Amino acid sequence: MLRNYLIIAWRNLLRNKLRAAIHILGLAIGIAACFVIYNMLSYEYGFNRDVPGYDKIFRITTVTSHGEDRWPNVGVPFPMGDAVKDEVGGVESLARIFDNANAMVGLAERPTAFGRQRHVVYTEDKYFDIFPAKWLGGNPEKALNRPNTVVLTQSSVNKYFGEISVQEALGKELIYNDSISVQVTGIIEDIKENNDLIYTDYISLSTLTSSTSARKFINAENWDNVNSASQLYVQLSHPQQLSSYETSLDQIIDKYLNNEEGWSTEFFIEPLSDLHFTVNPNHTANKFTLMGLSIMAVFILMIACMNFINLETAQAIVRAKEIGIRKTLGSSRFQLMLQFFSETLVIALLALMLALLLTEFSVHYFAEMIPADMEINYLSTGNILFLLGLVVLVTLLSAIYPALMLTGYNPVKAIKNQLKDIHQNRWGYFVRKNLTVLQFTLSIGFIIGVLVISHQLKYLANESMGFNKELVLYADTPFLDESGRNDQLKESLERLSFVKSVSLSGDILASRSLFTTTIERHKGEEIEELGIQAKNGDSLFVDTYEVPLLVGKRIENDSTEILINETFMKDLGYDFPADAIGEQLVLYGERNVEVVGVVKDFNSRSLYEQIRPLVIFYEPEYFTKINVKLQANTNLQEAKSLLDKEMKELYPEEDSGFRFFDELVANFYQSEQKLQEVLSFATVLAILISGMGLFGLSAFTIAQRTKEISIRKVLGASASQILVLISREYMVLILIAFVLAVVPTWLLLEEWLKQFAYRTPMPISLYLLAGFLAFLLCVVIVGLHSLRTINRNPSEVLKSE
Amino acid sequence: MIKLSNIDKYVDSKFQRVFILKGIDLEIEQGEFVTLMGPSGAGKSTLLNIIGLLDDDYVGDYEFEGEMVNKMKEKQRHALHKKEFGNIFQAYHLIDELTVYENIETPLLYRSVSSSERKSIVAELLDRFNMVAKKDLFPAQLSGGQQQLVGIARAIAGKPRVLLADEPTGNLHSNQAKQIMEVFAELNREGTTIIQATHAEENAAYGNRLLEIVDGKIEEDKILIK
Ligand SMILES: Nc1ncnc2c1ncn2[C@@H]1O[C@H](COP(=O)(O)OP(=O)(O)OP(=O)(O)O)[C@@H](O)[C@H]1O
Ligand SMILES: [Mg+2]
Repeated sequence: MLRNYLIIAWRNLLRNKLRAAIHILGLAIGIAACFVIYNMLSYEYGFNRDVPGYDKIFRITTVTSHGEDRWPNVGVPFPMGDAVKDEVGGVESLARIFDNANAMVGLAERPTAFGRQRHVVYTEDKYFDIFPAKWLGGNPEKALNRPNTVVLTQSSVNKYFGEISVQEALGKELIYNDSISVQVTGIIEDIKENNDLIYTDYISLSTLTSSTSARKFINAENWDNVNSASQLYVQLSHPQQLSSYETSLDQIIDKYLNNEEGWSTEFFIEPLSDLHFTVNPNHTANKFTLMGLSIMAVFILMIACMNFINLETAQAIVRAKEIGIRKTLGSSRFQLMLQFFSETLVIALLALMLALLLTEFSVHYFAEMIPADMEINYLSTGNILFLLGLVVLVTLLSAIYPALMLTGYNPVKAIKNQLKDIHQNRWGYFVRKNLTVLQFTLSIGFIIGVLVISHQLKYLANESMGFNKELVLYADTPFLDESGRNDQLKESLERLSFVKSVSLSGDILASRSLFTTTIERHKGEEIEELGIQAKNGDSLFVDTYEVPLLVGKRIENDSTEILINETFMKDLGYDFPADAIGEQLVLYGERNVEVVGVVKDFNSRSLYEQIRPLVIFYEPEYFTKINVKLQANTNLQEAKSLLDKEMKELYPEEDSGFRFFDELVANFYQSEQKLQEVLSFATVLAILISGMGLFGLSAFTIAQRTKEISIRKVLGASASQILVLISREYMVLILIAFVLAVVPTWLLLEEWLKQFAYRTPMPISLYLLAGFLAFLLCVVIVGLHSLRTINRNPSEVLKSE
Repeated sequence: MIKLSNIDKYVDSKFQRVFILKGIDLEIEQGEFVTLMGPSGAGKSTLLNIIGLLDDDYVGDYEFEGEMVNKMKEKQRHALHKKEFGNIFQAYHLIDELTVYENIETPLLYRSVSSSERKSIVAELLDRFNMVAKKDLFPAQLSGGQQQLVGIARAIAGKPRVLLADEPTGNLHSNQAKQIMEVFAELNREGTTIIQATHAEENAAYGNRLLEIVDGKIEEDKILIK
């Protein structure tokens, strides 16, 4: 029986190649899209799953808020670790870490350095209780329990010491950041890549807490500082009762934090499963984007299924005769439906094969759209089940309606071709129209989305951020450098003719990192605390980036002087910049500083965010960046290589060199650009599939009207009159689709635009453009078919009818 | 075997009820070869469809072997149709996508006949109608007469006791028509009950009973003596 069904299915495919091509290609694209996205989802959601006790591990994070502003931070104030240890019950293990991305590593005995290592962290031995590692050497209990020790992964060992045995490596010395000397006390296997915490070098945290200068740097006693590097991981004994832990955290807030008027701090308990989706230096996935991608993939598959339903029901009259005959031969309705399902299954299986090819193709050609480490294992159980499930689902979705409709025919009428006037067929016509409308609604929605997102990105690119990003290069310099080489480098660069100004700073002017703290204003006995964003820079910092100084003077490389921005000036209660000059404040609760100048507001983060109150202060010990502004008309690549050369001479161990600031700024919108690319791609697919569907549907319906068209021609209708007559029906459908598409896309895009502090007003003209494009597409497709029919000789048509 | 009592079939249009069949009383015994004749539009096809269980939209009683067909559930009726009836059409109605062999095989598939048995039945039928050489051709590659032979082979493959033929020779030349009628006569001799509708006087001669249908009524019912 099945063989008979399959034979019929196969011959039907061969007989109507256009139908077969549309079905197979459309479904293949839909299946491939779903398959790739499914793999992306399982990749992104599969992170950290291998950690034993996955469900019990959490990170404590901080949100500081002031009025409407919320400043989330993945870190906690450093003293939080001890506080949680002492005051929160039901914590099985607790580990503090202090992330030191881009640490400089060197050998103790020789002046060899290995350049900057991305995954260096300071932590304590409890860390390995929470995130167990496979120990190759050393004592897990003791390796990190005293200052100046380090646990290395196997690959770090090999990188620093070559191929030596574990026993030889233990006890070796290394120098971190040119100043911290440590001894290797443990060696572990490399951390697997599907983890978010993939550190390679673990220095004992007590190395930092036992040094006065380091304590100051990490703000070891300060509750007002939140640094994203200072994180806290806990393993809880009752992870189901998070609210009781939250209560304990609230008590810590009450006990240790004295929040000023209007300010509040909250701690959150973030499950390990969320870690991958929150700000993380290694790799961040965006749940919103992933959801968007899934929806797109499902939509594309749905459009393909709708094509199937449309074309099959349109061709019902052709199939009806066969169905009628089979009924008189004794087939039951169930058997007929089974036949139809197996036919659809054949198509879906062919589509599946093509989809696998398409997947392979898209993984290669659209590599930048998918995570770099992701690999698709076609034979994994998950993938096989997913694909088979998808094929079955697609078959059922596509075939159920045509099957019910076709097999419901009365056999006598079906055989006699009397179906045109029966009720069921009018229903089919109705469904078909609605599906076409729905397809075009989705396509128009996609087009609008792409146009509006591109528009916003263009808007962001043109929006002034308040500084000049051109002709600026920056590079990393060693952390806590006491050799004075920073100043030497600055001087040597200043001597270069093409250099306009050079500045040393703690961070570049605009970056993804954020350092927030509070500053005090003393009014007699009363102390007012104000939240600020802080940047550390020398006197030429604002000049190098051409941030306009509204009033006052630059910092004269004096740690008692600060610059503030307009926003902070307003927070201080001044309307005019000149009034803020001379304002006395206290930084870190100990250093008296004076406002010597007010700079114009600029965006130190992406345009997602409002400008925060900002203080620029001078703290040369913590300079880690060198910023260079070039003269106009300098050849950029040449300048970069000359700068790199100077740098190499002073810091032979540094290998990253200078980078262009404008490229960094452009990178702020990487995820939006990616979204735009993916959406454009999805739009092309959606249009392609709906276009194919319309092509097939109109081919069929127009072929059915051949006789009518010929008669009208004989009666004297012109080609254009007939064209209007035929396409009018489709135009109405497009118009309805447009109206239906506008409202949801409007709401969605409004929501998306809301994320940006700087956003374009909703561009209505682009909506109209999208509608017009869909209209044009429809005219072209329907017009092509109509013209072919119109151009046929009527006498020939009417004779053969 | 078949007993129709007071069968009416009508369609309701806006102003009036139009009867297609009116007050049909008819009994057909097993082994009969009945011919329906009458002007176009008289209701022959309609009657055949009712007898063949392809149309259940009528009033009146229909007994088949003592069972009330009009009281049966859809499922029972379908089973009865499958077991007892074979249909032959004026336009042959072969499945275009299937070969001669496969067309004949199809009703057997619906009757869950085992593969080996199917093979022998189809081979026997092909042999009987001299179609062995043509078994892999598609309907479009056959002449009308050959197509109708396939149609008959297909109709009798399931070994039905009643064969219903609606103008089986309507599209054929007289030679071909004669051949088909001889096949019918032979089948009838072997015990199959045959009911055919036709316009051709000479076809009626192969049967043993002739019904004249006019305007939805049986005008005349005569036994033919050969
Ligand atoms: N679905 C229907 N609705 C209305 N009238 C119908 C319908 N089906 C058939 N009729 C009418 O019923 C009458 C009988 O039709 P039927 O096909 O049974 O005639 P026939 O005797 O087989 O004619 P022919 O010799 O031309 O095949 C005709 O007048 C036809 O118009
Ligand atoms: Mg008829």
